[in-house]
Amino acid sequence: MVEINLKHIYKEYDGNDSYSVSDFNLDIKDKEFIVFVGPSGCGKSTTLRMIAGLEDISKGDLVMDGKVINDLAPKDRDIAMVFQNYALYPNMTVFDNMGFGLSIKKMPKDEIKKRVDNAAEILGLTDFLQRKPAALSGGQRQRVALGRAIVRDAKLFLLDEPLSNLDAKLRVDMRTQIAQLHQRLQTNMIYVTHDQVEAMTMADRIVIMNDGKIQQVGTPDELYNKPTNKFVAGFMGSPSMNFFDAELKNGRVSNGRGLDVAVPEGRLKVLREKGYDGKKLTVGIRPEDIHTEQVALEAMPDAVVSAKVEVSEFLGTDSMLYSRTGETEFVAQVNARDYHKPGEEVEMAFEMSKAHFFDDETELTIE
Amino acid sequence: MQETIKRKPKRKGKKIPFAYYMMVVPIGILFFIFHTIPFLRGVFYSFTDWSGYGTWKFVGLKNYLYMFGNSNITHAYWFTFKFALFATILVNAIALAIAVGLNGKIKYQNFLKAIYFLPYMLGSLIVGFVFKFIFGNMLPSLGRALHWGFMSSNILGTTHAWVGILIMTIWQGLAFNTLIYLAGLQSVDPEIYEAAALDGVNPWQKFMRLTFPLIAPFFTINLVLSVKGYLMVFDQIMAMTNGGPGNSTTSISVEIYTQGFQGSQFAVQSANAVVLFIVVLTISLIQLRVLNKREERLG
Repeated sequence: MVEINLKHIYKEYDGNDSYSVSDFNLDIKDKEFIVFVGPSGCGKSTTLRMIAGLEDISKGDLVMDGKVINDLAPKDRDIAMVFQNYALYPNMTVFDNMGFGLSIKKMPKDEIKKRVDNAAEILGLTDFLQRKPAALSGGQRQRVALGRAIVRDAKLFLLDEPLSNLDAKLRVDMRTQIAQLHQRLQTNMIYVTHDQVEAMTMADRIVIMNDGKIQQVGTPDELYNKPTNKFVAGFMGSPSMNFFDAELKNGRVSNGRGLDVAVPEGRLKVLREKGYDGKKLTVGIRPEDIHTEQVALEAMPDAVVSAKVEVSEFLGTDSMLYSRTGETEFVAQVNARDYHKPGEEVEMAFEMSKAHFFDDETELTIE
Repeated sequence: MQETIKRKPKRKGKKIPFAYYMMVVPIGILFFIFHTIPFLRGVFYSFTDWSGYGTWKFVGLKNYLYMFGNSNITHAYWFTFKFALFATILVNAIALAIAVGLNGKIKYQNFLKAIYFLPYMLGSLIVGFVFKFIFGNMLPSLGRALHWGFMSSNILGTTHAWVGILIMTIWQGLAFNTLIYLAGLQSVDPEIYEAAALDGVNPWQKFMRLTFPLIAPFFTINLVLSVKGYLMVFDQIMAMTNGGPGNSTTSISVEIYTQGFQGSQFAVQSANAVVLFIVVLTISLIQLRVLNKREERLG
């Protein structure tokens, strides 16, 4: 049973005016797979490194199983970490890389061998135990790094962008391996990535960060479908959500630059109650909520725009239509059967019941 | 299309720009004229009885045999080996310690790096004269003022004169070696140390199990260059003791120079130079072989 609490954690670097991480609050439950996601420089790796003990915590408490461990040395925190560049010891064999930490702890040799062999078997590294890291491929090195973490039998696994140096196909394979590993080991894992797909596919809960602050904590589904602000809405999902600066008037949102669609009754009621009638707001709609099929056009006649396809990407099952209506640009993700060539004029229906509305100034979701 | 392919000239070996030869060949010729020919002449004269002027005749291996029977020359060899051994070990050990310190997150790091590199920019003769003054005037004055007997006399005039030369050599030699070690230390990925911190290594284990093996190639370079340099020690001795007192600090190079040019032993000292060359070459090759094997084992 491991519970980790991050209470009002701040990180300030010497010579920096602002906090790199500010007021970070998070309670991590036993066996949970948490993913920190956000753009470069948002403080996600810094937070992870504070948990590892590789960075000092400027303010706040890091609590593990009820004990404040701010000042505990990394080696005494019972954690294992996988680094972005693997951080394997180049002078040691795969076996020694995995067993080094255990030998430092003066664990009996046969126990070390047992653990390393076990980890090597899980990761398919048995045939490579006597090789040096230089003789391994990127994927194998990454697995050695994972193996080094596994043999420690630690309470908490920290993974700092572990897949960012691998090619696309290998990344997908390793993603599955790590997810399986989590199920098998049943330990807490904190995984840092800038890739929202990794976050969505692996996490029990995602912590999305920007500018050193938590933007939202929730399940992948919550973050995708109920983002609390414009940043989260824009960050989660690929291609990103379309945003339009518009005005709500007569039950319709219009940006005066070509977009003019009706807002469904239920959503309109909420917006009016919150006082947005006649005011500016930001409308967000995901590419997959823009349709070109006849059925959709007929079902949502007051949310149809006529758009010109400028770039068209065929992705197998889907097509991305980079389109323009008036002066407004947007992306629609439609079924590949509805493929349209660039230059075609196409009627598109905006499924406004799935649209998101954000306050123009605070950028918070209007609920 | 077919036509075009047909008309395409047959692909020849890649043409190497003439400029590359222009860069290499003249220097090669100069090197041959001013280095290889004198060296070969030296080898030639080592089999003669030429005294630097006048006539000569072949004497076979006589000079070589004489060399090993001459107590001055054998003493010079023992002195040089002793000096090279101490200088190499001390310079490398101290330089490594300084480099590890400078590589840490210490204050005034760049300033200190510049300070430690400064001796490298000074000529050995200049540094030698400065140290001669320090040992001959400053330290004895200080010793007398403090009534410290061991410091009251000039070390360069005692049987410990070689220690004085050693101190100066270490002071100057540190600069280059520290720089090389620092380059080695900076080539180590910091994440490796972070991983080691999580593995729970103490500073000594960190150095012995990670840092030192990872900078093994830099250790090889420094060791080979140090041994080679100190076996040929010359400037420092000429500036500080001129080989004395007596001939207690006469190194092989000093012996070759003084006896070869001033003692009419040109042929004998040519033989000496050839032997020194073979000794340095052999030791360097052995070192490279042994250390490369060690690198392979560690790296």
